Amino acid sequence: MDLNAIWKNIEKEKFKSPNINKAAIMKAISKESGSPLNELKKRLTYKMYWALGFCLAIPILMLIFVKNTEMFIVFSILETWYLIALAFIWYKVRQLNKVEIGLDMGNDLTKLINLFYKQTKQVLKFEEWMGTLFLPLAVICGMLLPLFYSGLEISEILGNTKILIVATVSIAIIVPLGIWAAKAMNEHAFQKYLDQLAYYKKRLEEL
Amino acid sequence: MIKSEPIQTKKETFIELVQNHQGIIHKVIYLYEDHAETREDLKQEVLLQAWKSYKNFRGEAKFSTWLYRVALNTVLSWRRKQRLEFTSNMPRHIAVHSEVPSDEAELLWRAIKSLEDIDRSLISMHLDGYSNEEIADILGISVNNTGVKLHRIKKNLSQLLSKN
Repeated sequence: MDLNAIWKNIEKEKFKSPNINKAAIMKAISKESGSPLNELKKRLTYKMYWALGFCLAIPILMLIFVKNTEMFIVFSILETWYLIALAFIWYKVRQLNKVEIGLDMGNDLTKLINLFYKQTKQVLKFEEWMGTLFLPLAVICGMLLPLFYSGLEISEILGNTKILIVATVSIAIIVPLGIWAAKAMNEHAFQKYLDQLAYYKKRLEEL
Repeated sequence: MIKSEPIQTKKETFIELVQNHQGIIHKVIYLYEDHAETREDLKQEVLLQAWKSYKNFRGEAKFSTWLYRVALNTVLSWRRKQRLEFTSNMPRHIAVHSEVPSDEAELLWRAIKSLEDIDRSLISMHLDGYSNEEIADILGISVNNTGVKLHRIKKNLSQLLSKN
């Protein structure tokens, strides 16, 4: 029995699909950002670029505005904060970029889903944690900078009850509001895709 | 693919390569899907995944081998997702073939379609003239295992065809 000869007949009879033309390929290419995996990767990359943007903007602002040591210290604290965030997100995005969606996803889908789910969750958790610490600091820095810029010294600021009350009230209002807003934005940007992954993960485990 | 290639040239090269090897995409999809409409969706998905992965295609493997791997992984991954979605529900479609076909080609086709996912691709690649090394590379299994599996599948198929 010549299987090869029979296979040749099958080829002639069965594989009579319409030609894949250029338009069909271009249509597929344009759908590039389809799956939740790609979407999460893309959104984490945007997050990384935001952190990079701040890392670059702060030294520029320093060059323009810094005119004393106190201002330099405040800007440096902000810069360090963003550099830590950038390094962490860059590391996570790099790990996701190692995965070849399309090539690797057929091998172990559960592993791939877990990887994306875990890495994204870690970034969001890290951002939440960093944000909780960063926001009071950012509010303080935001208040200190114009005061330093106008020539006041730290001892004068700390001795001014009015400034301290305004700072305390601002922190009490802005910080929880900022944390809530950041959480809401992250939920809006990531939760839908994380839920899809969690669903697929659960179903895979059930099989 | 050269990394510094401009995006437009990269697209043109990709389109040309895919058009030259489109038979692979058709074949893999036909092996796993009976519905014309779903086949169209799958074709788009394979093209999309191929384009996404193309940036990392360095030309170390033959384009045909690489494309086969992308197409197969995409289709198998899609099948897994389908199983997930329909596990708790009624099956969407069951192909019922009550009569035994008299035609050898049809008989072989049905026999191949009844094989396990990986075995289907394995035998079709073998019948297409791929070497055991290439098949092993595409499927991510050892060359020895490929040989053993092929021997078993061919024996079963021959027996089935002789019986009918």
